[in-house]
Amino acid sequence: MFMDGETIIKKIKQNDKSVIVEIYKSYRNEFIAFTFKNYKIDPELAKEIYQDAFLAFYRNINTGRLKKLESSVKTYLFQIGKFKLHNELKRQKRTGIPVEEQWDLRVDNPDVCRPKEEKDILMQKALVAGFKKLSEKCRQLLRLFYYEHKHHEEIMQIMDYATVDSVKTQKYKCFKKLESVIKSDYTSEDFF
Amino acid sequence: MDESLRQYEQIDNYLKGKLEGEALEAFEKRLQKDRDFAGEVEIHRKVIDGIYAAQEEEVRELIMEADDEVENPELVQKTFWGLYSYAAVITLLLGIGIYFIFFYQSKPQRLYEEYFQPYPNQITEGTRGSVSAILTALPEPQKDTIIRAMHAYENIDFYTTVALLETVDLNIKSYPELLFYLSVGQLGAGKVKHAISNFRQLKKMPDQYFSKEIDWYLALAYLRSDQPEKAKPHLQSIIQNRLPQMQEAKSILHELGE
Repeated sequence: MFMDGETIIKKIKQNDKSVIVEIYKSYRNEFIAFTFKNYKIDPELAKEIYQDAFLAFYRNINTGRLKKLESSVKTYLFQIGKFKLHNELKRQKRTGIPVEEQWDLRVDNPDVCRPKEEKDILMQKALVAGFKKLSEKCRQLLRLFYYEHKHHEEIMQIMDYATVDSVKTQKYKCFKKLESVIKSDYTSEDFF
Repeated sequence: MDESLRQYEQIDNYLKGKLEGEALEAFEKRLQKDRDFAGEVEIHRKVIDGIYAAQEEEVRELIMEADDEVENPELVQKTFWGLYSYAAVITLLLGIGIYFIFFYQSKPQRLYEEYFQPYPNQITEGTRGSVSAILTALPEPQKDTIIRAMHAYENIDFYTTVALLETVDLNIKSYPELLFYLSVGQLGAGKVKHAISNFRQLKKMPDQYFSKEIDWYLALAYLRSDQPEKAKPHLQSIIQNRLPQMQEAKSILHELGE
């Protein structure tokens, strides 16, 4: 299977799972080995960093930020991964505590946990669950507008709406439905 | 509903960086004074983050399964032998494809790919006080644009970095630090001529923060544009001045047959 950058981008946009998995697996072990050799990073942490880098790659393609690969996929993934790695190392240096141990500390001792971060994680989980419960039409509409950055006019054509205003109104209703998921469980004070 | 819809659209536009001029000013004033409104904006931001997370959850699950396959191959072989062997063939062929692309690049371009790393973000993540201090000195709209540009930079999204930095409504050339990141972004995005021109301009500026990096990025830019002869003097200068990239410069020169 020969694939140039353009094809890879196209396949990922089409959510071709076999291509997504194969690209992910192609550089995974090499990245973990690279971080271990050069930074003596724990493989589990390296794996998480690689996952995040891959998701950023996926996001950049789907949000239209990455339209053309100027380098190989490996170079691109490694660049993101190295960036994320440097940030983690910088954070470790600042706090003096390795990232994994910071997490353990939070789990073991609720007094030192970072409540805002944990709240954010719970909120995001609730939103993801809420998003899955929306109608197919709502999910598509929100995805097109927020994730793929399509204009209202494009959405009107893709989803066969009669007017731009009806797209806007429907999008507003879908958004509010999703918003109600967190509004019912949290107050505005939770967001500061 | 009209008022609520209007506010929703306004918040959307603000978060997308589309509010400008008086509308932006009024919005930010309200944001500072009205805590409930600021809460609404934060909720809005969280919901958008949630939409992103929902889109990526499926992929996250997919790659975690892939991790299991890599870490527990025996289990996968027993259960999904057919699928697994198919995947192995795909991997092999993909590898051949990448290998094929790799050798169709010229040597200087391959060296560029091997050595190019964007300089760490010192603007929003930095420890170099006077570099990150640029942000505090800027008015809000520019500050916000630069934060978004640097966020894109960290995600190796150089097109957005360049597009955003180019829209900053100030003379970017009077901020050499921003010009530096714009140039690295241009190099990463393939706008090599622009990058070379800006790096050369930066090289002429005395006492700027990134002076030790300019030769390195200029050399990389020439490699990317397949002009190894122009890259060599910059690599030699790095070695002579014992700059941090000295070892890499030696290796590249060696590869170029020097």
